[in-house]
Amino acid sequence: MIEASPEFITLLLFIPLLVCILLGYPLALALGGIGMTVSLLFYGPEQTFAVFYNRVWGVMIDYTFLAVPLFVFMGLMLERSGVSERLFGAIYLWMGPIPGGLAVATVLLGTILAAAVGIVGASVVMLGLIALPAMHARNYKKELACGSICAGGTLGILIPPSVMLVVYGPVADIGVGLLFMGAFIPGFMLSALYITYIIIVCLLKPDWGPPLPLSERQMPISRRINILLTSLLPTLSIIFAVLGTIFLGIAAPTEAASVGAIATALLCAVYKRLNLQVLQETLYQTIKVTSMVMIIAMCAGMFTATFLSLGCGKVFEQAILGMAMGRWGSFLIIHAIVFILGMFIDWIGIIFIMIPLVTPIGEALGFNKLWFAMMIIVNLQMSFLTPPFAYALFYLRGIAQPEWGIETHHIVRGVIPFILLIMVGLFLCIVFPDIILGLPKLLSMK
Amino acid sequence: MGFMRSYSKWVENISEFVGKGASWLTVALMLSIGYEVIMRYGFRAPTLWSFDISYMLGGSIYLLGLAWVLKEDRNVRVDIISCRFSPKTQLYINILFTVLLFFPMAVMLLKISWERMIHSWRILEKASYTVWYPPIYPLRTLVFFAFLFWLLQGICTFYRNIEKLKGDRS
Repeated sequence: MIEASPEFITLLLFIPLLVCILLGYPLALALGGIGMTVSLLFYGPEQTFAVFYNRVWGVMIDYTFLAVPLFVFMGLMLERSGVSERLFGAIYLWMGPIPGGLAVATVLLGTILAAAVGIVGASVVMLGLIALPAMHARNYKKELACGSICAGGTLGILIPPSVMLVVYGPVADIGVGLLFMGAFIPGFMLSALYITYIIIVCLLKPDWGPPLPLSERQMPISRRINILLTSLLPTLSIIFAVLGTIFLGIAAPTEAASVGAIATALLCAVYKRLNLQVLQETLYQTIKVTSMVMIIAMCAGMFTATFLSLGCGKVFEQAILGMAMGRWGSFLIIHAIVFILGMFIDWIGIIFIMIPLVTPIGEALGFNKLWFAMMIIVNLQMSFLTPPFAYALFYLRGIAQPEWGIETHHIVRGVIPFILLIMVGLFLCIVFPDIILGLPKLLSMK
Repeated sequence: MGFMRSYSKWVENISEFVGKGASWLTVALMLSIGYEVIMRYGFRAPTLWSFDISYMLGGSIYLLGLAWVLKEDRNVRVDIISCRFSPKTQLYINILFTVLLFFPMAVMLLKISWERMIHSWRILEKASYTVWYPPIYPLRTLVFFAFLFWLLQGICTFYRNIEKLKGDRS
């Protein structure tokens, strides 16, 4: 076969990939096709074919990946259950008197849903459909309304259970249960930061988010407690069924995912929302999302197999370490790369391409593996919000009614404060690493 | 091109039918793992078969959905630049990369999965991930057929794109 320097091969792999991605060719097919072509050049057909088949097979028999269809199903099913409307009503009864109460309720609902849903689309859509009309009717400032929905909705992919964590674990060789524990507190911290910001900004500018008029607030407290409990309990029990079993070390994430999926379907049945058509549509949607994610997993596996075996990982590592910026300088560069990629590429692509590259660098720099992974995951939160390629923005634009007059620039300006808050969150995690590591330490000590 | 037209119709139906059928395996997957959870944590009697059955179901779900995803054009792509191109340019890009990247990859996967399937049947291969040692040649066969449907759908999508290009011209 041909001889070439690893630097040259790195370019040979990445430049065509970049061209394909920017020209709009499907990510998976570009990764697989380019990986194969380069591998054929350097290894010949026999070895290439064998390695690629084993990559496909490896993804198929991976027990952890099985949680992907299950969590996707769970999220889509919960979307159909109507549980979020009930919850929003209940939370709003309590948050009404607070300035910006609807936006606070949106973030709170996003946080609770996040603990039950693992896909970003489902929670943004749910929040948008419920909270946006309500905020529009109360004359909330458009930017604040859109920002809180996008930010609250994207918590779904950070706070466990989350498909992103399920996918990240096997790629970085970290237990998914451990990632779940690590993501819990940072998720709540972001939620708290969002809520604090909303309250402060609405205190300073009351017309951004007027509180509920007094006439709508009069309801005996016992009734309010009753409504809160009846709407919160089913969701909480599902959350406990999934997270509790993982955190207490009872069940593996895949097992918890299946329990959660069954429990959500039962909840739907109890609310009389489950019928054959709903189940069928949910299943169809589930297999499409799952296949879409897993083909990227397989093809990216082929790409990185070629990439790493030809010594390109070292090239990348030396390029970053060679900048002689010191430990934190290199750390900053990695995060800048992830942030910039997040503006243009899907998170699935970033995880499958970047994580095999940066994980060894993080170790070489002497960072705690779990902490390093979680920092990247929190960083990726921003990728859902940063235009031009931002899922949360697309979804919200898709559900906004034309008569509300919500333009893309409202949404974009709305999410900027929340992006800054995520950066604050990242900074806090650097200063206090126990935000990430505290819960895993505590739970593994018993 | 009467043949290609009826071919495309057939293949699109197959892709959709296979994807929809396979989606029901998700229910089986939930029940398989759910049963294992009940038996293991409820009765301290873990099953022998759940692990193997589950990854077989999961692998089938991932692969059998591929052709449908391709048919519905649901693959993840970054269209921030390409959406500014004319539809014709977009079609040209897609056709070019399909020839350069998709067809070689799909043919390769089909060839190797064929070889593995034949080999697996010849030795009546068993999976050795658990002590249950189930036969694994059905799953190897499924991999072959999934990639076959994928390639057939790819040819169909390719044909549709060329038709669209022709339609633009006339």
